[in-house]
Amino acid sequence: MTVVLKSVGKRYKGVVALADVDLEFGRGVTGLLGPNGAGKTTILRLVSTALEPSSGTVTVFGRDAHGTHAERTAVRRGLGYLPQEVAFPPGMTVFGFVDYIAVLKEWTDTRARHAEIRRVLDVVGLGDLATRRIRALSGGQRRRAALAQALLGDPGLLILDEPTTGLDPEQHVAFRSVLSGIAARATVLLATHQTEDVAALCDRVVVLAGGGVRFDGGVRDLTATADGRVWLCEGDHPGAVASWRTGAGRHRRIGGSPPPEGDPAEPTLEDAYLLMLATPRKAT
Amino acid sequence: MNAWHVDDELVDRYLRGAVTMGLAASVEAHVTGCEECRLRVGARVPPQVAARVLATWDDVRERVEVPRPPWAVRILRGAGLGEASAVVLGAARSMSTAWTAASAVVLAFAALAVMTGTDEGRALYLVVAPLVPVVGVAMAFGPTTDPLTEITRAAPFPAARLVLLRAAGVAVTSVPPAVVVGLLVPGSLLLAVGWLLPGLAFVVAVLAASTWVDPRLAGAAVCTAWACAVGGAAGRAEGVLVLVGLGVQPLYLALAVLAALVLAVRLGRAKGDL
Repeated sequence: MTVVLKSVGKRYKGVVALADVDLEFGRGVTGLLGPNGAGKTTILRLVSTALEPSSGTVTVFGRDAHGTHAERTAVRRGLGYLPQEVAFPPGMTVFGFVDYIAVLKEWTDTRARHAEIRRVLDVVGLGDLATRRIRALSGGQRRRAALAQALLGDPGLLILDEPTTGLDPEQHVAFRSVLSGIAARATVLLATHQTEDVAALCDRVVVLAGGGVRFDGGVRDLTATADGRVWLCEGDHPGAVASWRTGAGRHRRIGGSPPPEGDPAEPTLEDAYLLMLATPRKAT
Repeated sequence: MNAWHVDDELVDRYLRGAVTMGLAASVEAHVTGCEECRLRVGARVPPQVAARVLATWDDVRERVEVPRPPWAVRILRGAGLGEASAVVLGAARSMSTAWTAASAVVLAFAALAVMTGTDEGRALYLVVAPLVPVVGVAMAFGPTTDPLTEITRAAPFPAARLVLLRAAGVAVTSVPPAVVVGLLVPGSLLLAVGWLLPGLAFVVAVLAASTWVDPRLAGAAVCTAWACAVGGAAGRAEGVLVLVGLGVQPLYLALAVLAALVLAVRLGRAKGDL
């Protein structure tokens, strides 16, 4: 396993962000789903070594990610990290930004570093905008510049926190294409609110809520938990977890009791996710 | 449909340079659009020639696609700094608006104090001068000034080297102007340079304290403590110069060494990331 979290907890000024979590991540894309404050970003920051756990151990590539200086450095050499929010220093060009991060990632040979920067900028579709100042880019282009730095060195562990924020549909598809290529040879952790990204990309999904794990399994397994609990019906009926009028005029009803004259509908990952969050956690 | 193709015999002549310029141009124009012939030519190119062509192409891309480094990086490289250090410092330069502005304000205050030419003015200069680098350093670190703190923390670049590079950058840009202002004070060289060691000790203390608390809080604490010390000395018969006299300089050296040790230990641990 590339990443192992054992009894990991994290508190921020007394507030529990993560409570005694055990997780393991191997090759392929794992999606972390959950509402705001569920602990997704905390897990990614812990694995990236940017944040220390309050309790438990985080092991990456078989090394303690928060152990000695040598262990931390070895872990950092093998990972790429895209934080949830990346603010860029004023005045930097796209190339200058990725060049700076490449230096921080110990690419000391100039020629090799520049070739790698050109490669990752081509991968994210910014090869033609290398000399452009970042402040002149659109939100989606900035997000891709931030993604480019995470891809430097083709890391064995890629940690992506809300990578598709601000991307248009075309860029979304391009991102999925890039990520599916990487997933064949690396471990990818993807925290997102976009269930469609998880459905399209992930082999496995972990649903987090209140600092704990609510579900850990295959995407199909999570979707299957909503079988028989989603309907298309006429009109809105009370008691559903969620209900809305679709473009075709009928209402999509998730959870609650079967509506009168309702037709069962094929559940989506989003349906299952909403149902799971609405279901009270079983007492242990 | 183009019926003409490059046969093996022509490829060999082309690779030997045994064709006219016109025919060579025809071959080159053709292979640009014909994948089959391009592969045929590519397969017959000797490995050493292919390697040379690839290297040349890499050179071309390097010149065309890699933008000129920022002026700060070029100046630092010209001054003999290694490329990695120059890039890191150059990036700090682009993050430096906050600390440049803070240092300028403090420096202006010191100049104003000197211009009065009175004992009070000297006291004010002594309060302000060591705090120029302190304010600069306090403003140069942390998420509020460095928008890339999160990415930097997860990168293998040694935190200690990053801290020292940035602190050196702050010192180089902020200390010389403060010394020049001090030299404008008539009569006392001690006043102009006597604060350098206290300033160094305070900077290292701020860096060490910043491994626990926000650098701005650490800077504010040091500024307050030093202002109180100068204020107390100003009311005594010996005057403010007693704070920078030769007798007390070893104390600042000891503080600097102690703070440096704390910083080294803290940076060696995960909790010590600035």
